[in-house]
Amino acid sequence: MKLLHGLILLVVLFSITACARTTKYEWGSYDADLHKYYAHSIKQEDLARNLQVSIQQCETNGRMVPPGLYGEYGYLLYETGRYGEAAGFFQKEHDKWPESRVLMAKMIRNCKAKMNPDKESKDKEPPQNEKTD
Amino acid sequence: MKKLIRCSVVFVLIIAAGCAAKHPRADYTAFKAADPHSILIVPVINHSVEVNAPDYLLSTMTIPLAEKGYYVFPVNLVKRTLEDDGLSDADMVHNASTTKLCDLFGADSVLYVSIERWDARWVVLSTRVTVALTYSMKEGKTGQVIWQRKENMVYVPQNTNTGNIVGNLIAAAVTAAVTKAAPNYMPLAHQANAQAFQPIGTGIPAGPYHELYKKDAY
Repeated sequence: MKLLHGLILLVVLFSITACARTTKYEWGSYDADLHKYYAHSIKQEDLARNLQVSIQQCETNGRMVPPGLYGEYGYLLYETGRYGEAAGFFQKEHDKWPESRVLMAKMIRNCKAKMNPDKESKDKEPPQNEKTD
Repeated sequence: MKKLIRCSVVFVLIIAAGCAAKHPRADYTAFKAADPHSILIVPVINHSVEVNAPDYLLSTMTIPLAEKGYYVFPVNLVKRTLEDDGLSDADMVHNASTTKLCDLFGADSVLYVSIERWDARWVVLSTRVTVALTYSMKEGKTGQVIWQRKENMVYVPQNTNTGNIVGNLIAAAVTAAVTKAAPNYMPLAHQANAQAFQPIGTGIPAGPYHELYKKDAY
């Protein structure tokens, strides 16, 4: 009888571990949302909102925010003209992932140029027309 | 006793041989030398007629590669930035110098993907959905190819057997019509990525953020 109980427990444990989805990072709905965004079934603001939620969830649960997500969210803010906030997220990506530093430094410079067009115009940053979505 | 041991050794060898991958092992010499820590996934080239396929495919590659232990550059940011720089055409990006591209983004390697097929075709009472992809990874310093792979995924919906020929024909026609109206390519795309990236010996070796880094293909 004891043996049977043991066996049942073992089978249950096996099936649980087999079902567990073991991912390194918590991605939320990032890939599915990106697909829907490209299929025009959700808007840029929906993609941004969901990204913000999943970043927040990672931060409050003390989990590592997946590579690229701060940058991705930062770019969506940048596209909608929220340059100051965008720079903050590019900075987070920059600090968390050393591999991103070259690109993020550029993105932060772009944000500053947008916020301070006169000062940065010397740095041969052509005045760009704003992107609206 | 000796005979028994010998027998079991032979048995184990047979099992091991049976488990061995069917594909020949890839040559990882160049990959090891390059030791990339980051991957820049650039927009996908499209040889199919489905205009949205490249963007859809772009959304599927970040997660498996980041989970493999690499820093993956944010794909949407990269795509838009390239467009702003006048590189909205994937063919142009693929033809541009890998070294320059890597300098621009500070990347160690670039993953180039082409869609060879992304279609649903009517074949004898059912629709075959096909996704065929070519992957090529190049390193940033010399632009040399360090990994490549081709995947061809086919899905044929199961026909329901109704017990009579007329019933079967109708059932098949209905299944095909459904698949034709809205074929779902995404599971095939995910499967192709998994089959390309994951297998040890043919896939992409684990990156620096993975516990198997320098252990699986080295």
